[in-house]
Amino acid sequence: MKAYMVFDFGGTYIKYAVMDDKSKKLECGKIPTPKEGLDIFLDHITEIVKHYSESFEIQGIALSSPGAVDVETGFIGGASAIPFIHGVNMTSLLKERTGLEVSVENDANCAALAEGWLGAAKETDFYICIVIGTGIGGGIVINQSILRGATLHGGEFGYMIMGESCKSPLQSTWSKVASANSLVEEVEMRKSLVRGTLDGEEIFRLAEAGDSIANECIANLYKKLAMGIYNLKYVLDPNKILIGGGISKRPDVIEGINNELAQLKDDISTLDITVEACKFDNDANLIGALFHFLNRK
Amino acid sequence: MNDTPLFLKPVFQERIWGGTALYDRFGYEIPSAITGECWAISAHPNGLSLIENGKFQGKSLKEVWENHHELFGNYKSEKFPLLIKILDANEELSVQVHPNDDYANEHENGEYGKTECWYIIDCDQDAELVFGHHAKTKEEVREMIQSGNWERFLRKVTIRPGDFFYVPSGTVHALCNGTLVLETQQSSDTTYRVYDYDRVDNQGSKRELHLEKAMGVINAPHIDTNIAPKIEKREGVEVTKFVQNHFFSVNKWDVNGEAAFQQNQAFMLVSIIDGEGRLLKGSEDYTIRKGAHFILPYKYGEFILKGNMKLIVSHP
Repeated sequence: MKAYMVFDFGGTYIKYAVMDDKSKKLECGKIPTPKEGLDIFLDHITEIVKHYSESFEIQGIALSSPGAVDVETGFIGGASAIPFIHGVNMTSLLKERTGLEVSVENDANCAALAEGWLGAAKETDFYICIVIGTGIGGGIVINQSILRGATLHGGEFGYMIMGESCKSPLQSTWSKVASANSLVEEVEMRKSLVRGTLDGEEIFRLAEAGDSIANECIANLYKKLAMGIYNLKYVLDPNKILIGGGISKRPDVIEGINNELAQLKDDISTLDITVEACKFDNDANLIGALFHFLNRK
Repeated sequence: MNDTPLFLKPVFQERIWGGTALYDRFGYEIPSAITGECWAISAHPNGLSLIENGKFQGKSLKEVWENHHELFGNYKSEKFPLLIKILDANEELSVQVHPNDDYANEHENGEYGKTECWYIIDCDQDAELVFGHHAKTKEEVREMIQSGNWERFLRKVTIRPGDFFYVPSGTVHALCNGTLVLETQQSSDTTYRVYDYDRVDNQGSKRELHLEKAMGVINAPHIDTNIAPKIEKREGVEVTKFVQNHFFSVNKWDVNGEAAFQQNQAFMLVSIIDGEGRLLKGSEDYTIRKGAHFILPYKYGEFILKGNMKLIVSHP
C-alpha cells in the first residue's frame, strides 16, 4: 500500500506517523528526541523509515521542524531545543540515507496548513492562524500557501510591540504580554510565588475556584489578545482568524477573546471581528507536513 | 569607605505562644518567659533594631536607612524592605494569612504585603506546621471556617531541623509548638488571623480574628511551593541557595574553616544561627557567634569568614 512517512520534530519527542494521502494515520508512534547529536538523530529517523518500508510502499518523507526552515533548499536555520538540527540541510541528509524524496516545513506553518486543508479553515482562501504557547507564533495562509516574507518572518505575530513604553518597547512584545507564559508569570508575580510554581491549567483551575488574581489576569490576557487580533484584522483583513496552542482548547478562552473583540468597536472601527479555535491538536504538525509534501511542487 | 558592618541589637516581643528558647538557645536577655519573637534586623516602626557599633551606634536602622541611604546602595525603596526574625513557637501560633503588596497597599495604609520564608533552626521530633488547607474553592474555605471543622480544613506537614519553607502571601499557615525558626520576610506587620484555638490571654480576652480580610487574600485551592535548594561547595563553605526572587534571596552558609565571600549586592543581611568564628576584612576583625545579626553595606566587597558557623544570609 502506498503511504507517506511523516515526522514532527519536538524538543521532547519526535512524533511520527505513516499516513495515506488523506492524512489518515495507518501507523504512528513517538520516541524521546535523541540528545546526543545529529548522527544518532538521523540514525533513529532512518531506522523508523526502514522499519515501515517493509510493510508500506513509502512514497516520501514529510518533516515538521522548529526553526527558520528554507523549504526550497531543505536547510533549517534559527534555533530550538534541538540545537543540532539547525544549520544543516535536513532534506538532503535524509535523502542520502533513505533514497526517498524529503520535504520540510516549519512547525507553526504546518499547523496552519493543516487547518486549511482539513480543519477549521477548510475552503477559506485567506486566513491567519495564531498559536499561543510559550510565546505567540503563527502563520498567514493565502490560497493554501504560506506567506513567508523576505526573511521567513511572515506570521511571527509575537514580535508585535503592544506596550506604550518608549523606553523599553521590546519588553512588551505580544509574546511577552499575552502568551500563556506571560499569564503564568503575571499570576506568579502577583501571588508572590516563586517562578515555576504554576502552569496555565492550574491558573484556570484557580480562576474557577474563585481566585480573584487569577480571574483578573485571565481577563487581562483576553484584552491583550483581542488588541493584537484587532490590529491583525485591520492590517491583513483575513477571512478567518484561528487560535491554536494549548489554551485554545478551552471554549471559555475563545469566548473570552470574542467578548473582548466585540467591545473593540465604535463609529470608526466598525468591523465585527471573531476568532475560532483550531481543529487539530497534537496531529496538526503531522497533517500540515504531509500537506506540504503533497503540494511542494 | 563602607568598611564597617552594622551590628544590630534585636527587639523582643512577648506573645501568648512564646517561650524561653531565645534565652536558652541564643542567650538573649528576654523580657519574660513568653517571649515569642526576636526582631533581629528590623526597620519596622513596631520594633526598631538599634545599631550597636561604629559611628551610628545607638541610632535605629530606620534612621540610618533614611539618612544614609548610600550605605544601602541607594536601594530603590522608601522603606527598608526586609525584616529578619527568630520565632520561638513554644505553643501554636494562630492560623493566619498575609496579604500581597496590592491588597496591603489598598487596605492597610500603604503597608507592604507579607511574603515570608522560614528556616527551621530546631524543632521537636514529629513537629508540624500548618501549611495550606484542603478546601477546593473560596466558598468551601468560608464553609469550613464557619463550621469550625479545623481538622478537615487545615493541611499539616511534618518538619525537621534544616527544612526551608517559602510562604507566599495568600498561604494559610501557622507555626506549631516546639519550633524555632529564622524568618526572612517583607518588612510588614500585617496578619489576618483565621483561628486562634479559642485561646484567652491573661486578661481573659481572645485575640481578634480578621475573617473578612482573610477571605479576601486566601489562595483557594492552596498553592504548594516546591523549593529545590541548590547546594554549592567550595573550600571552607557549603552554600545552600533556597530562594531567589524579587522579594528576597535567602541562602545558608555552613562555614567550616576559612572561606572568602563577596558582598556585591546593594546590601546583605547576615544572621549567625549556630557556632562562632570571625569576620575579617582588611584590618577589621570581629568575633561573631550565634545570635549575632549584621548588615554588610554597599560595596563592602571581599571578606573572610573563619570558624565553624551556620549563617542565614539574605538580600533584597
